[in-house]
Amino acid sequence: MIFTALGLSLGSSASLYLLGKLLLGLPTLVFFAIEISLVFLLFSISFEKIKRCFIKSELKLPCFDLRSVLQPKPQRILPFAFLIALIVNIFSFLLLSVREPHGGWDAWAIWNMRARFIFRSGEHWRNAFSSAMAWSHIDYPLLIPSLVTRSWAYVGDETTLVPATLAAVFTFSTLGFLVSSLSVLSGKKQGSIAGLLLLSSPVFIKFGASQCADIPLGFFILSTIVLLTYRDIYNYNSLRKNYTLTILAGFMTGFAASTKNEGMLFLVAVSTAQILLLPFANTKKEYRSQLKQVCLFLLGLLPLLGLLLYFKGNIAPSSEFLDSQNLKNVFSRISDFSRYIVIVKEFSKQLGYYVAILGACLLFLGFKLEKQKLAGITTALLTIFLMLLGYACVYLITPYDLSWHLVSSLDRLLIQLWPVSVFTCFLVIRIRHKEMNLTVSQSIESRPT
Amino acid sequence: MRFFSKLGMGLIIGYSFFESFQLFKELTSTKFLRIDLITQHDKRYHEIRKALPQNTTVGYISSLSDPKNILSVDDITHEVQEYYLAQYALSPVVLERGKDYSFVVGNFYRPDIKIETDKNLTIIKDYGNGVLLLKNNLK
Repeated sequence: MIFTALGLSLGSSASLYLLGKLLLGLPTLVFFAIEISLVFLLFSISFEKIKRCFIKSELKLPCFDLRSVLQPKPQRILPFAFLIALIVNIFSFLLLSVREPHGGWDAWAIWNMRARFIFRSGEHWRNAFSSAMAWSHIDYPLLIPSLVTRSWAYVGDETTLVPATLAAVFTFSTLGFLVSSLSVLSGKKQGSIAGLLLLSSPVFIKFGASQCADIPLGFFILSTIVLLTYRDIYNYNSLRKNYTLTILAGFMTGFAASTKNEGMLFLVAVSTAQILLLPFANTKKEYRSQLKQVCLFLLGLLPLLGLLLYFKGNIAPSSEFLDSQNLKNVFSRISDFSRYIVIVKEFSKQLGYYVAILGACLLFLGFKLEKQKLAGITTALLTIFLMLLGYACVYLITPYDLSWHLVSSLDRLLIQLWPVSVFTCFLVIRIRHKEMNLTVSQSIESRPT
Repeated sequence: MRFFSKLGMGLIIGYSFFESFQLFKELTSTKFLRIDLITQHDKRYHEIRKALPQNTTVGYISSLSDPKNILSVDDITHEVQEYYLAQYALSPVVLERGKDYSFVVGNFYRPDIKIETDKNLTIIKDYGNGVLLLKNNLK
């Protein structure tokens, strides 16, 4: 849950900064005072609970105990291998960050550029959305630039360490979230293998270090699906329904939408997936409960959606992508069969790698679909499918050169979905072993009351 | 544990190690090391940034502003990159291509291309490395 808290705090502080400093025009000092007061308030509210957790040793991190990892026992091979791969990748990340301290093209031309404008121009920050800068995707939401600017304001200097550190936090939190959530939901072995698999994709580390927004978006997508899956498993095993996780998942979806335009596609996809699954409820009572879950999910994302809509409607100019569209052009593109072939070819080429790897994992490691995980897996798969369908539709009607657009962006779009795809795959992977790890249902049953 | 599971885990560990060390090797090889272009440009525009009026829009011309100087696709890519880098370095000043503003930033990064003189533009200061601050006399 430490990674949920991290995602929540990063997203909240960025949104608060956007609301307080930029939209309401609060002076920096006032904003800091508000933020620090909120931290103290939240800490004092949860202090008793944290103290109780520590005293009763309820707070157990699901990952690794370094001493046990370093013991040369056969069952420690996986965590040990993961640790080595992690260290090597941390060094690679550092090298990449030193080599390109301002990040890759997208980072400096979009995200860090916007952060520079906001930080340097003070009250004239809206200049960042001048029509002369339309090439810089000025319609993109401001979660990442807000985080960078806010940290620069705290540090008092426009250092490249800030965006690089944020990139590291998002990249390795995605990994941590994947490993820890799978360790809890499926078993430590699954967690370690999934982590190794994510680290085996060099593009994940490369895109992470390049400070592009696709890795933070991937983090929020993963967070949403993990929380929804955890909720579904909890609700399956317990008489009392959990609604807190649903609201948190709504928040995470809101943060995803505030990170990049593709996040809005995710918002639509994950909401649609949950609505589409409503008719499959077994009883009327279950249907009502699921409907309540969907409503609470939408309620959770509502504040951020409101902020985003305000930004889109009042600050950001309309999207260059939409501006250059008209019905006649869209229709002619949709009716052009050759475009479908180009899209299918490129998707097969790039998606093939990921599908082959996950397929091999399922084949070699074995799989079993547990009933308690069915709802979570279905929601995740449906969301991923709707996202891919959405990407394909965007390519179909793109006003840019189709081949260029596909080659220059599809790899980044797929990396947004890679962590959540690994998570979903490893929910069904069941390593054939006599002693299986505790599943979450058993954990819930054995939890002290 | 069955043979296939062991084999699968071994393959994943091997593949992950291979890719991780491959990336690390690639990054540590001298061939891959290069100087950061963005920092170079930040330094190149450092002085002119101080001279420009803040939070305004200024014009931007470059070695390849005149289409007849563009000879290849690489030229176009390079021109776009130079413009974006200049904007990144000079923000929060907005750069708009052309000379329709009182102040114009000149980025003459290609010394091999001779620029035709414009009688309406006066050089205020030459900052070196092809960076010039110009004044449009008509504005």
